[in-house]
Amino acid sequence: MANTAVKIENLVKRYGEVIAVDHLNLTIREGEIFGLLGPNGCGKTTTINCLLSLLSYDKGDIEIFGEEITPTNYKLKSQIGVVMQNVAVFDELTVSENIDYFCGLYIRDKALRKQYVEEAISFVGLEHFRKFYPKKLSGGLLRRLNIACGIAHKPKLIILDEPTVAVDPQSRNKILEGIVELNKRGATILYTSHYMDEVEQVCSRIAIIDQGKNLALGTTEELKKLIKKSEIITIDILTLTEEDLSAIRHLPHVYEVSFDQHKLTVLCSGGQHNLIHVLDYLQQKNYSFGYVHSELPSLNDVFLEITGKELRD
Amino acid sequence: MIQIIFCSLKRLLRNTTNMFWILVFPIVLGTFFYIAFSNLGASESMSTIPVAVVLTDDYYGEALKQTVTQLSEGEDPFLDTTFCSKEEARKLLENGDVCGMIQSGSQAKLSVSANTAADNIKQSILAAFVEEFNLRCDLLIDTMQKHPENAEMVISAFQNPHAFNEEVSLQKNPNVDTYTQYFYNLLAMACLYAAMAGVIVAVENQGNLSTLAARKTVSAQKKSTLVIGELIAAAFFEFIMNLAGFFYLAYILKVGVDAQLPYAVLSLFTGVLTGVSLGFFFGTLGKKGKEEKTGLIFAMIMPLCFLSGLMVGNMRVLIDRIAPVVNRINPAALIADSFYCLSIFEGHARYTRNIVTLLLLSVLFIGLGILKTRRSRYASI
Repeated sequence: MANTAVKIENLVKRYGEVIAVDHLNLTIREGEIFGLLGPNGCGKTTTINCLLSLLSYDKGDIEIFGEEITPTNYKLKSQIGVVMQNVAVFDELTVSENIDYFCGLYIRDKALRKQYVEEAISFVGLEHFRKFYPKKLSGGLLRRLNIACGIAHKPKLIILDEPTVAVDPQSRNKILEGIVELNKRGATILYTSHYMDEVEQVCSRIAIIDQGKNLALGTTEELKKLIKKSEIITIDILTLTEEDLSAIRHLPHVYEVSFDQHKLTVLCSGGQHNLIHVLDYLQQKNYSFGYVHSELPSLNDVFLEITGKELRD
Repeated sequence: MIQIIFCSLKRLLRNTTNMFWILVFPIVLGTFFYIAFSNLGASESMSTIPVAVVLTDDYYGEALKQTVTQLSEGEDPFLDTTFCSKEEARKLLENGDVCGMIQSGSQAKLSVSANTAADNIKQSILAAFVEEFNLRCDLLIDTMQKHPENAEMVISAFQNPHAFNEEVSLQKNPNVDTYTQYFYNLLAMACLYAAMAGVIVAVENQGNLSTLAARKTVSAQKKSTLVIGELIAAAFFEFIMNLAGFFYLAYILKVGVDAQLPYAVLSLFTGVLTGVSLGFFFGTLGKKGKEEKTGLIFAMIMPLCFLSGLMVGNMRVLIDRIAPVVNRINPAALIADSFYCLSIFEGHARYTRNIVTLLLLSVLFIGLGILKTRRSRYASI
């Protein structure tokens, strides 16, 4: 069993009457990429700011690597790297100077710092931009610089708060590959996003939070098993009778059927070969059909079923 | 710490807006002051005043004749006198050939023409001259009537104006003039503009005010180290910028602000330090951003400079009469006064008091600012 990197117990943070974080419990194991998934305003960034001892909180305990995090626990802070949601770099310093500055807040040895800066530059692929000022960089490159500034000192715990917001696909892939690579090198990652595909792609475990509450926790597969829906079948067909819809509804594992604008939608819960069963029925009845699509549930479906609303709301 | 100072200096050096306010603005304003005051100086240089004098054949006429003759002699005479009859004098006055007509008598009379409006100043000077002449005549007659034994002494006193007032010069620099004080105030304003750098240090070290500050706050670096390092860089940079402006005023415009140079440079440094620390303390107050706070600190510095006499030359003297405590704590007044002291006084007592007050204000502002920024956690971001 891996050691605990982050332990949040019963965390409560209020802004006046509004409860931003509501008795949140989380445990992040060393060496994992932990995803904090939730819509904008659900309390992800507030949780991170409490975790970093930037925000005061009303209740709860936070431990990082077994130690209580406080604003003056500099030893513990030196093991943490943060990539903020908003790009936080100096406009007057070049790419390499920015990374050197932020690395210098953790590493005093000049030679070691120089080495770390070079490694960070090549890690995020900014070798050709080291003398560029941030204003000359594209949005994607700027995000990469933001990441380099947060990870250059080789922290054990890296917190990435929505690092791919407003980033082009190429840079986004580069960032996601980088996160996996950092994890392979031994860093524990706490990754927040409202992009479920990203979280699904890189995170080993995910917590879905909404209105400051932890709604579900587990691997992607574990989370998908929590919901009723396991397959969505969509078929373009000209016409169907009420009898047909009733018959399809009685097929194994089918729990909901709808027909609207020549589109048949069948929701299945568990089971295998659900699509074959539906197609067999239509062929037996000599129905002609066009476009056929079978879709497995996404984290959005998980979120939708748990909260009753879309993740991107 | 060294890395923080070095990076901060780089940032300050590359910030063109900051450079403008600190370096270019005072130089431009100083040049404008210089041009404006040069013209004022030129307009004040007085040429000889043409005057027609009508004499009566008595003691008063003789006295006036001797006086105006004396004032019409020399390389740069005060009067260009024409002795003539009343009619001729009136004609000269109407033609604008003279600025005034003086008639002798028990009370000398001055007549001027309303048509020669351009010579208002000269007419006023003539009026003052006639008034003074009458006063002296009265005094002499009175003395001769009551204490004739003292008449010779009075006449001697008239001939030697220094006999009444002995000038005790405290000035080390005899060239200092009224307008130089405007440049002292300009330097004070430039020093206090360093507050902008202080505001930036404050805003960039409060985790609830900017993302950059949040990133620095969560780092493994002590807040006090960050703040002090950045303040040192800001003060040093602003001092160098102000020094350039100071040398421009002192050696290019030659406006006479460089009395006792090492002390003047110390005044400049102390002024800049006070400006940076004032801005830093101000920056720690409230949750406004960099732009708002920079605007507010400028709005605050202007009244301080006004009270020290940047806009009205004798304001500091006026404040000294009404509310002297204001001048004792107003940084702009203290900076300007420290330059003034170097030009005026032999001793350094008042200068030292000003510098010590400025240093105490700096320590107070920095101390309070650090107390405000080192708070443990923020309630909201």
